[in-house]
Formats: sequence, C-alpha cells, structure tokens
Amino acid sequence: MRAIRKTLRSIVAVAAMLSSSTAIAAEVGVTDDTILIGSHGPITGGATFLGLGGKAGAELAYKEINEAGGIHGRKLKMIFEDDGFSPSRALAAVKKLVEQDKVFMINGISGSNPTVGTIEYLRQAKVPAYITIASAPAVTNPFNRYLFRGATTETVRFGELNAEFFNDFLQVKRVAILSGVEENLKTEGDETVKILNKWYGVKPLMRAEFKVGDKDFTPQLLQVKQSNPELLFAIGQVPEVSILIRQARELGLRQPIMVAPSSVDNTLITNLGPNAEGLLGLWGAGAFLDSGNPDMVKFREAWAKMNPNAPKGRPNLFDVWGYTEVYVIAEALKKAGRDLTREKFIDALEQVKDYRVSEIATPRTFTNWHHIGNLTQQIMIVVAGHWVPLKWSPLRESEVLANYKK
Amino acid sequence: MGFSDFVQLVVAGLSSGSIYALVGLGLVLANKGTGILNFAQGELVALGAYIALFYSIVVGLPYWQVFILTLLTTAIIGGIMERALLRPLLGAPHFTVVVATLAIGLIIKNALRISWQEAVSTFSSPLDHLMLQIGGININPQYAWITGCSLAIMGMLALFFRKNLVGKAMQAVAQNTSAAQLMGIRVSRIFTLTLAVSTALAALAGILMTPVVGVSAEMSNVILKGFVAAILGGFNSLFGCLIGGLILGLLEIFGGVYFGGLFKDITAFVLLMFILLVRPHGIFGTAEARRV
Amino acid sequence: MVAGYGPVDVLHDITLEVKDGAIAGLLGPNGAGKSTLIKSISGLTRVTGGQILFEGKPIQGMAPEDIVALGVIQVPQGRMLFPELSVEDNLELGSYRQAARKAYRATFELVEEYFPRLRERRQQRAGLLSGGEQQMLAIGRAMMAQPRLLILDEPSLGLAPLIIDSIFDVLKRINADGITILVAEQNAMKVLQTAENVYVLENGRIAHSGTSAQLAQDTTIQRSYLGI
Repeated sequence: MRAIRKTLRSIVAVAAMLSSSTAIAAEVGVTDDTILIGSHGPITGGATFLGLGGKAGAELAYKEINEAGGIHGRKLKMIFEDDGFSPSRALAAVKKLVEQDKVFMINGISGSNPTVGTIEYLRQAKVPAYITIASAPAVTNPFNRYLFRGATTETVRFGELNAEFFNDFLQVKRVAILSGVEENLKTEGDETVKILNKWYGVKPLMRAEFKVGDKDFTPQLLQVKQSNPELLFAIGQVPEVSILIRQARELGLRQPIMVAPSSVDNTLITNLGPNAEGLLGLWGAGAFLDSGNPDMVKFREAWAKMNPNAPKGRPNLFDVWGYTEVYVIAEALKKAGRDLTREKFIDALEQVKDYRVSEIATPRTFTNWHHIGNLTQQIMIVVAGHWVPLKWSPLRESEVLANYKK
Repeated sequence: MGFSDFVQLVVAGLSSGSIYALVGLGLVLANKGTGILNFAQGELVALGAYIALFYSIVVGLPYWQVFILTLLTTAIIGGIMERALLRPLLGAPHFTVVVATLAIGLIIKNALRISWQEAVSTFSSPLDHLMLQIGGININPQYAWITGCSLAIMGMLALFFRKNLVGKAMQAVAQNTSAAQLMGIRVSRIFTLTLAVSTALAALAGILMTPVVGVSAEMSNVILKGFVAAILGGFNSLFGCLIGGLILGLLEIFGGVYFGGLFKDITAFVLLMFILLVRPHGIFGTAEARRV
Repeated sequence: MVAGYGPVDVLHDITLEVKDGAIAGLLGPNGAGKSTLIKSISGLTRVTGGQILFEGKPIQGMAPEDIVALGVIQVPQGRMLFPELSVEDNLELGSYRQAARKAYRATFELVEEYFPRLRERRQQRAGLLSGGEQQMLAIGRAMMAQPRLLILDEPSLGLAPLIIDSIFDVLKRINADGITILVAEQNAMKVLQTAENVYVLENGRIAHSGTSAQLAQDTTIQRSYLGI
C-alpha cells in the first residue's frame, strides 16, 4: 500500500514537471521570465579596448531594457565569455555558450579574427548570431540565414564611399594611399583602389604599406612626397596614424589627409594637436562621442553612472556599438512576440527597417536576402580640435547589395 | 632624396638610436651588476611612460616635474622589484630568473592595458608641435631634445661610475662580487641600487619617446632594439651601448628608405647577424670581458 | 680562536689561535681546507658549529661587511681585483667602509710607501698589471681598509721567488707597524721563515701545530712540506 502511494506520487510529480516544462521552454534559452543571450569578446590581451567597451555598452542596454520591464515580460540575461582576441578561444567560448549554457542566441562583441573562427560552427549550429563589431566578409558572405552584421559595414562599401567622396566632394584625382598590412586595413585600401578605377578611371599615384607597431614612416612618406599627390589617404590604427601624420607634416607634406574609420577618434586629435586640423574620415556611428547632441549626452551620462571608475578614453566607439546593437536585438525580440522561437526571431530581425535607438546610432535595415545592417557612414572633419560631421551623402547606389539580389 | 630630407633622416635616426641606447644600457647595467637578464625592461619603458602620463594628465603637473618625479618613482619601483621579486631568486638557475622577468613583464603589460584603455595617448611637453626651421630644413625639436637629454644622462652616469665611490662600488660588484663583499660593500644594497638605476633608465626612454610615438603598452617592443644596441656594443659598456644604439637608429632609417618601409626592421637584424658573424663579441666587446 | 664546522664538512674540530700583534701561518696541501677556513672567518662560508672569536667577541654568523667593519680583512686567493678599474680605484674601494674612508689620504700614502710600484701604475687598469703587481695591489687594497687582522690566502701563488721574497718582506713591515697577520700558504719555507706560530692543516684537521722553530725541526714536516 505504501509502495503504491509512493509510485503514484512520483508519477504525479513527473507529469507536473513535463507539463510545466513544455509550457515554459518553448525554445532553447528561453524561460518564462528570461532570455539567455551569449556574448564573447576580448577582455584580456591586446584588444581589451574593444571587448571591455562592447561589454559595458551591452550591459547598459540590458539594464535599461530590463528596468523598463523587459521584452514581453521576460528579462534579458547576458552570459559573457572572454576570447582574448583568439579565434580558437572564441570558438570554444561560442561552443560553451551554445552547448553548455544553452543560450537562445549569440551576440558577438569581438573583432574580425576571433569572429571568423566561430562562423563555420555557427552556420552549422543554426543558432542566430548577431555580430556587432567584426567586419570580416565571412559574416555576411555567402548569405546565411543565421548570421547578421550589425554596426560595421562591409569593407567593400568603405571603398565605394571613399572613392565617391574623393571624386564627388573633394574632386581630387591624384591620390596617394598608405595602409597597414593587416587584412582589414589592406582590404580597405584595395577596395578603394578598385572602385576608384572602376567608377572614375582613376589610378592612385602610389601605394605603400606599414605594420602595426611601426614608429617611423619616413621611408613611405618620402615616396608620397615624390609622387606629389593632392590627397593622402592613410589607413591604419590611431597609434600608427598619429605618428604618420605628424611625420608627414614634418617632411613638408601640406596636402589634405583622410584617415580610415579605425582612426576617427579623439586620441588622434590629442596626439596631433594643431596638426589634426582639417583631417577627414568616415565615422561608423551617429553623433560623435564628445558631441553635444542630446541623445549622446544622455548616453554618456547613463554610461558614466554605471561605470563610475571608468578608465580614460571611455566610453569609446565600442561602448556605443555594444549598446546600440543590443537595442536592435531587443527590437526584433519585441516584433517576434511572446511566443518566441529562434526562427521567429530571425524573421523579425529581417523585418527591421531603418531602426535606431537614438541619434547615437545610424539606422539598421535587414531583409530576407541580405543581412548587412549598416550601409551608411558619416564623413567627419576635424575643426577646432573636434570631429564634426561634414554635410555630404553618397548618391551612387551601392553595388554591395547587387551581389545578393541575383 | 634631397639634402634637407637627408638631414631630417639623420636627426630622426640619431634620436631613435639614443632611445635604443638607453634601453640597451639598462639591460647591460642590470646584467653586469646583478647577473639578471631583465626581459621586463621593455615593459618598464612602457611603465615609465604611463607613470609620466599619470603625473601629467591625472595629477596635472608640468613637464619638468613629471620628468623628475617619474624617474624617482620608477627608481623606487625598480628597487622594490629587486628586493621583493628577484632577490628571492638569487642563485636560482638562469632560466628560472629569465622566466620570472618575462612574467613580471607580462603582468605589467596587462595591468597597463586594463588601467588605460585609450588607443594611444600622450602628455604635453614644452616642445609640442614646434618646428625648428634651419636653412629651409624642418627639424622637430623633440628629436634634438631626445638625443641631447639621452647623451647628457649617459654622460652623467659615466661620471658617476668614474668619480663616485658608490658608482665604483657598483662596478666592483659587477666585476667580482665576493671581492666586493670583502671590501665591506653591502652587495644586496648595490643590487637594489643597480636595478633602481636600470629601471629609471628604461623610464627615461619611455618619457622621451612619448611625445614622438605616444603611450601604449606595445612600447615594450623596444626591448628588441635595446638588445641589438647592447649586443652591437659588446653587451659590456656604456660607450659601446651608445654607439651601438646610434648605429642601429641610423641604419634602420636609411635601410627603410632604400629597401622600403616594411624591411626596416629586417635591415637592423641583418646587420646584427652580420656583425655577430664577423665580430661575435660586438663591435667594442672583448671575449674575456663577459661576466660569468 | 676556535672554528668548528658542520655536517658536510671540509673542516673538523679546528682550534687555531692568532696572537695579537703576531704573524701566524697556516700550512697545508691543496684541498686541505685552508681557503674554506679563511672564508669562514670572513663570513663568506656559513659556519655550522663552534665559535670564531675576534678580540674576545664571537663573529661567526655575521655578514661579511660587518666582519670587515671590525677590521678583519682578507686578501683572497687569486687576488680578486676589480680588473676594469684603475689601481687607484681599487685602492679607494679598499677603504669603502666609513671608518677607513676618513683616513683615506694617509693610508693611501702608506700603501704607496709599502709598494712604490703601485705609485707608478696608479692610473693603469688592474687587469693589465703583472702577477706580482696584482698581489701588491691586493694587499694594498686590504691595507686601505685599516685592518686589525690581515688574512692572506696563498699570496705567493704563481709568483717568481724574488717577488715572493719582496712580498713577505712587506708583510713583516706591516706586522712591525702593529698589524696582526694570518697567512695561509703551500709555500712552507716562506711561512716557517716568517711566522711565529704555524698550524698544519690536513684533510680538514689540524695535524700539527707549534712555533716555526719546533715545526722546522719536525721530520714529518720536513719530509712532506720542505722536501728535505
């Protein structure tokens, strides 16, 4: 008799468990009151400015969203893994997030190299992955239903924007190009050369390269000087480009200089002082970091409140991107409804059109045939020690999307 | 290449050469004085630059105070490093000590990266954004200051070794530690002092470099150039280091011009290999002068 | 003076005494433990048992520089000069400790009087001196510390007989000027001629001891050390 009662009790218990779990766990990583989102980025090693920035920005967005009640009654919860900017560690992180932590989706907050290490796995796992920062072509090309590129645009698109800006606005034909040998820097140079030639029949006067960590650019700059261009285009990171521009001026190069998005940063101005005046460059977000734009002021204040002992130089662009892209994800989660599945979430993301949380971001648009969220960039110029937007918008239609249409 | 370009290259080459000499001298000093081959020397360069940055930007001191305070602070740090981290390893196998200094370097580098996340930064110096015009040639006065200041400090150090009893005691310890003990020299104090001076030399390189190349944890890579300078000079003497550094600085910059910017570093190392093949003990080194 | 020595020992139950103002000799073949004994007195080797008394006070376990400060100064085997420094700098380092530095000028002149050769070589690098000159400099450097007890380890090593004679002559002068001396040597003849009391060390033990006159008569000593 006692044995029977015991058996009955356990049957009831199992039934209750089954029913409740079917009701709650409609999808992996989604419970009645939470959605688990897995993220990875470098918070140790040489690219901490990227990972720590992206992570802090995302944390701020999650906090705001959850304080406002979450999405359809569910709170968003981020699980963050350090990838140390290494492809193998990034892959291990993503595997752990998907298989062990059973997250609903991945929000990558890392650079190109580590991210590329995770792409093949993500494609096969069929887990939605929203890549915030990495600009590696593999994220969007070939097209894959589960992979999205958020904040950065295609490197090819930089080539188009540069070429059009040189010809349409600056009206220069004699261009000298110096770029880093690292893949994304080199590609930006290559693409610019390609489009200049294709659209305008212009060939750069000279092209030379340098390495991350170089402290002296005299050899390359002497070549530039000899070619006597109307514009010098310098593609690199802030440390190298700062020195490069100062040395260019020392060597008597008075021509205008354009820099790549990777060095559109206030530190460049600090480093160069008066030598920074008139520098041009593309900026990948909305209002600039130190701008008086009310949305940016609001963001800075909220960020500072959450990070009271922040190191100098923060919030940076990655804080902004980490923040704005979580809002894009939240927007899609909202559209997907209470009855959330991974497939419904992807459908909802593909409905996002010209969405941005505020003027600190540029608008994002995804469709069911391309997952490139951002095709716009803002031309900036240094005036009186500040990066300010220059009134210019590209008119030519991008060929980037044409490849996907067919 | 015009004459004015040539002069500019020489001025720039000499200034980077004197930085290499300072870094190399710090390495030689620590190695001769205490037997430690300090692989953290490059990170100490970066540490010096960051401490200067701290005094300049966070505390808001003017350049000259920053300069002196940074040298004092890093000297103390060097002394503490010797006492707390390297002294316990006295008598440990050479390899252990090398790994320990590598670890110290890594710790410093990562701490710097986390505590200061600006891509690169710099502090203001009185010579910022100035340009000297001499007969149509632009000269960045920073270069002249770097070279002049390095030479002056190395000269003072040479005088200290030649004229001051403590300086002589440091040499005595380097040349024969037991004999130095028998003179009543407190060897442990000399070790601490040696590391303090060599750390301050690294910091000096960092302070001088900053206005030209900016502050970053990757400044530590300069240790390689310091090694080349020191080895060219025979890994033995102040004068050898200086000449080794200047030769490297000039060769690097002209090598870059003639073989292309990407081959700049290679030029330097090809020279190093060549000199080591022809003169294995460096240009000024002698075989027996090495400390066992 | 009593020097005991610990477990792994090169030295066992050594009893040795240097009288104030005297010259004592320490004889023994290579490897008998003379250098170890001298290093233990100077604090360079750790003493694991027994006592070393200097002017009645125990000095074992003290740091080398503190023993130097008491006036116990060693001229080490192989001279151990600072080869890249000048003769003058070597001498100056001899008077490194505070007390000796005060009398620097006077001692310097005295040393140059003992060894006029050093005066001629004053600016030369120590590494470039001849063997005899190096030994003179090593003794001169020790004298700069104003020793009360001067300990010499194999001062005759590798030197020509004529030079050895002149060096031992100077040692006698130094002793006559009131400085106690302990000299360890393989050159038994020279020691027996110079010292008052002599100890013979064999396999880490004192095998014989006595006045020079007594030992010079001893047939075993004659056979093994004087080759008679």
